Amino acid sequence: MKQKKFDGIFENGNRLYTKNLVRGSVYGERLFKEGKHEYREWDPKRSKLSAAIMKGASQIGLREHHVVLYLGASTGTTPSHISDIVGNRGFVFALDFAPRMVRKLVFLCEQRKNMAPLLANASEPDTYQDRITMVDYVYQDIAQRDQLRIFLLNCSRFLEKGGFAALCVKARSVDVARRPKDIFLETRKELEKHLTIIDYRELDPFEKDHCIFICKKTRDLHL
Amino acid sequence: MLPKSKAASLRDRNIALTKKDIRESVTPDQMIIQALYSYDELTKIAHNLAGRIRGWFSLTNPELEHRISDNRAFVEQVLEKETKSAMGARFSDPDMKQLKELAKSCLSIFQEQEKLIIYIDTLMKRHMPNVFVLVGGKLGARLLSMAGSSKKLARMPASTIQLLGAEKALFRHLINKKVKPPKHGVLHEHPLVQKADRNRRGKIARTLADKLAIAAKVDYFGGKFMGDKLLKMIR
Repeated sequence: MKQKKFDGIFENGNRLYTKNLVRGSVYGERLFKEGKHEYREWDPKRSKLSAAIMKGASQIGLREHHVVLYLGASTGTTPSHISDIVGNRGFVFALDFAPRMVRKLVFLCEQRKNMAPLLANASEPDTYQDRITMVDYVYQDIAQRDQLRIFLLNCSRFLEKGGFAALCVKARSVDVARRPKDIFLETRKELEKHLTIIDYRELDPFEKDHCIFICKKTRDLHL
Repeated sequence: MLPKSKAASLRDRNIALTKKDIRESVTPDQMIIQALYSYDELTKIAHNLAGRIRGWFSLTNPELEHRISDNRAFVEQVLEKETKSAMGARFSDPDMKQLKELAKSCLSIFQEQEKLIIYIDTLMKRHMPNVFVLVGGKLGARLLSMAGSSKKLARMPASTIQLLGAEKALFRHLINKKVKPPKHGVLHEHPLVQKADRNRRGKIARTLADKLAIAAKVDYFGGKFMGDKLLKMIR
């Protein structure tokens, strides 16, 4: 097991792993034991952040101890790995707006001391602002047409200055009829007005028509 | 980094609040949708099971199996008296008993479906009376399930309602304009659309969808019942 250059992320052969915070598998992923530590396999086909690393991202901005706001947590596949990475002194607010998904998220949060679930709509920060704190990292993976607006809104409200943020863009949910490349380019232009982009990866072949932007909040956002 | 005590209290509070949010998010919509999906599931199961019973029963009486094409009538016939056949082998009592057990299960699935339809109709009448009058319980529930909720259905334009269930054909058209746009989605189940000539189906589906859009809005925002008027307009 080799430590990657990113906090809390390990590599063995071609596979990525995170050091398991709580014994046992979360969603059926394979476990790997070494000494007294247990590692969970992080499949790039199931997690876009893992795919970004596999595609050679130079930086993801996520560090141990970070407080993370995760928008579009779904059943908690990627959030569980982020929970591994930030460790017991970090924290993850995992938000989704589908009750069916959040149900599973609640069970996950009951197992992990550094996670809290939120059932809310990411485009309405007013509804959950009193349930969270300012964060060091915003991660967004939601299939909404106005995903960029939602991302900027949350970064402006909850991300500390100097903090990092990752945005997964699903071209198909912005406009099915347009070329994904054009949509990515347009997103980049708009994103650059507010945040500093430090890395960009297209996630093919792990995810079709998806890309990820890693950004840094270098100044206040004026939306 | 969050102080340990702050993290613990945030987590406890959010878990409690989220549990409450989830509990309160259950709506009558979901009851209707679950009932409809169960109905669909039973349709598949009954079809497969009846097919298996046909296969087995045709060893003892292929003539009867051949004569009755309706699955339910066939299963009821299997449960009836012993029958004679020139081509079929005689089944021993245990053979026949086992086969009839299976037929009984199949029949109870058909009966369960009837109950589900009554249940869906009752819920639809109560929660979406206007939609119910226009398209009936099952089709109304199907539109509801495709929209996701009565809130979403109420906010849908008529054009979207017209094409619910025709997404594949619609996107085929959007990507390649040489392909003609679809006329209707699940609305083709409606008797008015089915009865119509082929070249008028699109128009009828559109009119129906228009009135459905109104009906869904009235139902969701709690307006007065006006389904009968809407129905008259279509006719």
